[in-house]
Amino acid sequence: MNLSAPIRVSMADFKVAKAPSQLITTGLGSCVGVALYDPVAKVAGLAHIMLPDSRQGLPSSKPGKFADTAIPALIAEMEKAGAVKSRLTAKIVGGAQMFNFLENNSVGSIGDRNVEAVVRILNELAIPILAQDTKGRRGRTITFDPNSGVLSVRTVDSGVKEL
Amino acid sequence: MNRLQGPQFSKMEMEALREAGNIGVGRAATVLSQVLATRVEMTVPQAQIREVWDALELAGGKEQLVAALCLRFCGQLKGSLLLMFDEEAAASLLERMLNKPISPLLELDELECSALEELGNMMLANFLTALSEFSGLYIRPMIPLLAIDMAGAILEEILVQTGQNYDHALLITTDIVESVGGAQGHILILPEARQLEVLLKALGVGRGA
Repeated sequence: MNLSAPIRVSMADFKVAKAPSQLITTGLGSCVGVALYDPVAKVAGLAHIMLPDSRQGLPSSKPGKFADTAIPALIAEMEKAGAVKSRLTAKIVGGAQMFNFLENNSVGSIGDRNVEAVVRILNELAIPILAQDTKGRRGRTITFDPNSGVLSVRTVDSGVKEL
Repeated sequence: MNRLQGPQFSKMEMEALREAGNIGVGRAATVLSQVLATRVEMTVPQAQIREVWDALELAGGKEQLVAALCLRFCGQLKGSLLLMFDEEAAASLLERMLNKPISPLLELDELECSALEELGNMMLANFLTALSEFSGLYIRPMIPLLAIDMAGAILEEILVQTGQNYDHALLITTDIVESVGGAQGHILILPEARQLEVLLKALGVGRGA
């Protein structure tokens, strides 16, 4: 394990880490970063979700692409690393809309729909959402620390804030 | 097209897509050159089919602040064009267009924003005209949109928007370099995945063409 090299989570993927490793995902746009944490085992998981629902699109080779497949897969991976599902808490970030696409006025942007799907799924799984920094017009980079459970969010115009 | 493994295209087909990109970029570079009255050079476009999550790497420094113009198109061919300038390039272009000192990228005023939108729109609309002439397809540009943010987040939004149903995207990428200020821009073309065969057929190299 190397402190200076955080584990990168790419789009449509998820990763699990324990201290002292950190998890990072850069340039979240309309995607949503879901950070799950077991504070007792200090196991952290981070998913970079592209779309809300696997049943609406065509099949994908990546469970991490959709909210409804990514979150259960991330939990299973965290359990393998020693996390207990009933102890998990969540923080969610992303779901922005940087371009003002007109057709989104009626159906909501992909970002909005991603956030709504993630919240609904976490509620169904009874995982409390401790903090969220979602929607808006800005892309975000997030770093997740398994030791403290702190999620740092960086944007181009507001610096870094901690959730 | 195999959705999970991705579309397989022959060397000749990829070459035709690259050439289509080449003609479009040439026209966009000419517009830039006319607006600035300087010489503009461009690299030979690269055509590649990538998994969408992998394609994000093409944004280079994913956290780099850029000004991006997105021009989506519909009609017989659907997709998106994305033109990106980093802060230095955007300032250099605006300075010469407006002949005044330029605000930092995050603080552009209305005039600076509309100048950038106008320049991007002219470049990308001309790109589409060239692509339409070359392929014989009717292509209609939609409203151009400007965003100033992290390169990775911007490309991500377009990739997600363009390729919701597929795991793969065709990307035609090129760099344009303007000789006086050295301003560099990047153009990416993302036809929707199922549109690739439409384009190839129109170019006369697709299966069943």
